[in-house]
Amino acid sequence: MGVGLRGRSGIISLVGECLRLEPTDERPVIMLLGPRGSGASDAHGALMEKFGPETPFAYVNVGGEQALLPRYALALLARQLERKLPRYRRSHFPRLTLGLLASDHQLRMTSLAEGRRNIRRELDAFQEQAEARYGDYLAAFFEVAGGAVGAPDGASTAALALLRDALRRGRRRLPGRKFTSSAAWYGGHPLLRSRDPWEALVELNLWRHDGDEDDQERLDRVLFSALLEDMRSNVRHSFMPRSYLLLLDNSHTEYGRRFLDLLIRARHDDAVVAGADCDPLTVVASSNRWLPRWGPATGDQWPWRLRGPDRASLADWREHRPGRDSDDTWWYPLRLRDLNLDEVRIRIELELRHHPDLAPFTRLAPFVHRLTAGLPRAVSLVLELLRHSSVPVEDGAEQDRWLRTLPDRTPREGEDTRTLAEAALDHLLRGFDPARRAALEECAAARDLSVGTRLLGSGDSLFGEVRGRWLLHSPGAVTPALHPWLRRLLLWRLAGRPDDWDAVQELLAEHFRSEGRPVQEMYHRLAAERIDEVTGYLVERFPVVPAAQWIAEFNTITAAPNRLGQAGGPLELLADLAPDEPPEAVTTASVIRELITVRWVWSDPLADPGMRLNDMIADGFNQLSRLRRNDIVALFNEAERYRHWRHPLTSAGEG
Amino acid sequence: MPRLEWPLHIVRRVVIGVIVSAVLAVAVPLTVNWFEERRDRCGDGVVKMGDDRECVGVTDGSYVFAGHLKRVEKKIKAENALVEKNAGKEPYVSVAYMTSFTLTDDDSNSEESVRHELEGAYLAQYRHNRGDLSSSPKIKLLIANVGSSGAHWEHAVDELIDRKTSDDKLVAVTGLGPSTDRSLSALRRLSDHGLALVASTMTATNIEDPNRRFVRVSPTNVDEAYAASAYLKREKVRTAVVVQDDARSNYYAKTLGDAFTRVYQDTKGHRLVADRMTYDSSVRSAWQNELQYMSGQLCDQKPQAVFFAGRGKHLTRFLDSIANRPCQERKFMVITGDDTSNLTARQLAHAAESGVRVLYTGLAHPDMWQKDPLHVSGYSARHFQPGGSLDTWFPTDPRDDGQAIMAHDAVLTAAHGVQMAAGSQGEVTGEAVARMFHQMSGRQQVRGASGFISFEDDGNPRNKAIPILYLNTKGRAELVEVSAPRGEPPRKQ
Repeated sequence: MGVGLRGRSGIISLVGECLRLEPTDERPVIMLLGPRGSGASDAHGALMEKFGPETPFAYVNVGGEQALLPRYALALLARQLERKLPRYRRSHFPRLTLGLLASDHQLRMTSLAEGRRNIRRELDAFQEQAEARYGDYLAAFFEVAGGAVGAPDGASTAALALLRDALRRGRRRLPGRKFTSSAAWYGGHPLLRSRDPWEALVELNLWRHDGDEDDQERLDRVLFSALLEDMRSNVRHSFMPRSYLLLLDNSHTEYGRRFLDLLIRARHDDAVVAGADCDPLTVVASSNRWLPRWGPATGDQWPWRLRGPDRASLADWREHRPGRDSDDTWWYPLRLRDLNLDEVRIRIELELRHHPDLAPFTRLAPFVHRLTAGLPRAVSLVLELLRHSSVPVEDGAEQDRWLRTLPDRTPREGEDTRTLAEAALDHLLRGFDPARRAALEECAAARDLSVGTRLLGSGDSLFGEVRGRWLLHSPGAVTPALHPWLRRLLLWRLAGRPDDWDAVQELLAEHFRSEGRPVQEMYHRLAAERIDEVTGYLVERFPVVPAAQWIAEFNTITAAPNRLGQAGGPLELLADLAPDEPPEAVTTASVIRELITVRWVWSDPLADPGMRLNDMIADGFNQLSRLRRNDIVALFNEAERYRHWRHPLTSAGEG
Repeated sequence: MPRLEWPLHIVRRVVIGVIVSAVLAVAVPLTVNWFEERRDRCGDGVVKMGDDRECVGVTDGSYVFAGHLKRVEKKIKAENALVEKNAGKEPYVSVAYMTSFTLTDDDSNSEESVRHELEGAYLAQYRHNRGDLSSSPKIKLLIANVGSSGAHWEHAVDELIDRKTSDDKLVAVTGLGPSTDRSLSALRRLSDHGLALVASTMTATNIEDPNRRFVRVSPTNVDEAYAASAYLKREKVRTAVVVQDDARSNYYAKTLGDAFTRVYQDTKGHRLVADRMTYDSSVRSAWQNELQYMSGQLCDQKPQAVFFAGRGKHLTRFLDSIANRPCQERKFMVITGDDTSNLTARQLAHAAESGVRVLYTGLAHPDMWQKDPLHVSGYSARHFQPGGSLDTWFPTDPRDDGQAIMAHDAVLTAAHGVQMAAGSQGEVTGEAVARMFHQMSGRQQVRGASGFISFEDDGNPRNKAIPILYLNTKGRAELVEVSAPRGEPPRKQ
């Protein structure tokens, strides 16, 4: 399994299951959903590497700069699926090719009858011209749409080699084999009025060159139907694969959505409406948007609930798929989750094989996980930066100081001169204009994004956009929070605007005060560095609430973001936060104040990358326990927890 | 039809493997055979056989069995080519001349003798095709080599049998080699396949062909012994001893010895002074010593003549032994059979050096015609005289041994049979030719250079002229007189 698919083993086994199904069995359109950087492209690369050598596959990226009309996507797809594999005979797509050919050039005719008489001769002539120029007709589509088949991001060299092989040109068809021999199929197609094959082809031509939008769509539907029929026809023969694999990257784009709509519709028309066999195409599409056809992004009106990739299987799909009458029955949406700590650690170790210079940083796995919350692309970016920077390799204060400003670091090598924060934000928020991005930076100050967007006047559209891009952490959770990595980066940017930072924190604190939610208020007070106010609140609460509740409030408040100075390690940061006059005696207030500052610094992975403040926090809780007469077990336990810190596998809420 | 899901590349490999295996299974044995055949092949119809890889089989002269045969084979090839070329105008049949042409020390024949045979055979072919006896159908002369000691007679015979039905249309086989078991086996097999057979130098008496397709132009050993005995009696030789080769396969020696023993003593005053003295030439390590010891015994027995019933090559040893006899003062006369004519000039010269008077009954001699013109065909004999055809074609090759004459007469007999068979019926077959042998009497007798030849029912020549030859001090055979088993030989009819 490739690095890219760590934590997504279910996807591999699911696709394997689909490819092993009988050719006429029903199979899902697997949707990999997640924010940009959640590893969908990696998954495509890994699937290509795993199944490419033995299965005809096509990779089409519909998220490129170039608009990819469905007919072009189909041609690219068929051209790749025609690849000759040792264990199978070569697949052919004569109906699709004839449909493309018939709708390619405008036919010279004055009447349908004349068109009917001439079409065969003209189509044969077109085919010969294309073959003379490109080797085969489908290869001609590379001239205009070749950009959509570039390798997915992060594809391995093995995957690249497979893709190159699938795209290899120059296979000349045997002379004399004309696509017009498959014309009969068009004569029987329900979307075409003519029962005569040649008239049907003329009709296709007219739709393309003289038709309206509906005609164009009908043409696309016929072409999709032709592709699926070609596949069904291919797999009926011996020495043919049971299934074809289509990897559709970035399918949330306009043309990607259109492609998926047409595909789902063609499959549904054939398999459900017409009652024919299901086509043997296994589709793995990725999208980092909620697709509009699924209804509102809340997902309330879509019969599907997102499934996790770990236990994805055909049995799971069959169990959860909606009834066959709805075309929603074909989807199988899998939400790509973030990597857990162990997966981050394994990923670093796997990358060590290729980049031995990462060896000193294996210890930093918890730091990387705390920082990125396990978003695959973020993990890669950080590792890339570590590899290409002059970061001190020794664990210690110097390394802590270097890591303190990690988001502002740029790789020592390479053409990209953007800082880590800029590069990551550009990628995550592609398509956001600067104003919306600035607004989002401010909204990120709120733990609950919906509160932020409402209070800061950005409105529902920004929230909807963020939710549609799968940028909310833990979808379906009560508090719709931004993904921790994105939020951290946005707040890092906001910290560069101190006045705005303070104003936003003040606004939010006031909001929560008016709402009567003091813990949330204190969270924002601490973010605004109003330590004494926070101390006052927590000192006051200490004797009146149970220790466990106090600890919970304390943890929530001290998880607040900070805009502390960028120089120095955790101890230096703490020194700056110390009271102007050191207390003369150990009091509850002095202990709590210190505990607040220590944990506040500690909870920012950039401020305390090595979690060196664990012991200080443990000491603080010990001291607190001495200052309380009863209900001290929770305090002891908390002290123990920090003293023997074990980083949680997935939760990024702490630290 | 169910879908097959086996990996195509594996299926292809298996199918290709099966096809390749099948092709190899056929091609490899064929190729091996072809190579072996090619390796074992000397020429058309001639293959290498035996440990010595000698080339045996049948050729039309294209393949030369031995360097010394090159000249005569070339002529035979040319004559055969002419026959084939004119096949459209003149039909032809084939007559083979079979003997051992690749000789070793184990053979009683010498290279000279077999060369002379082939020269004589060619002469007969030439005379029949376009010489003084020109007649139709023409004769193609095939040369069949049975290998040293006739070891590969079966192969040569099979080849000959194949030629019967090929374009060669073989009808008769002549020559047939010396009187050995193998020669007799070959003879029977060829006869069984309907071929006419004419032996040239086979003299063993007890040769019978139940198919009655066999004749010989040479006198039998009995005839020779009779002729030798008659000569000795005329010369008043009263005491003699028989020295005989006891080897089982040597019919020549046995029949010669038996006949002499029987006939010499049938007249009063002539006796054998001792029991037959024998040696066994099949025991390689012993026969020379056996001959060595005989000289002492002869000194004791004091015979006037010794009748040597053995092969010529043994005779030379015997003469060496006698030359060193303890009783040097005694003079012996040694008289023996026709096999002496198989000795080379050098061997004869060596024999002459022994100082012993050596006489032998030959099969033929070129001087017979001059000495006895009534009993030899002048037309035929002239070709063997100095300045005759053979002398012209093959100069500097003295043919005193008479082998050329005998071979000539054998082929001439076959050719005569062919001519007679063609006259009596359209198609000439071996059987028809063999039947004609029994019609060769009176005016149809064969006008041979060794005498006028007709045949008795058993295939033996009737009262064949036999030359008594004397080995002079130069090792050359001098004709002493022409004898015959029954007094006077047959005359021209």
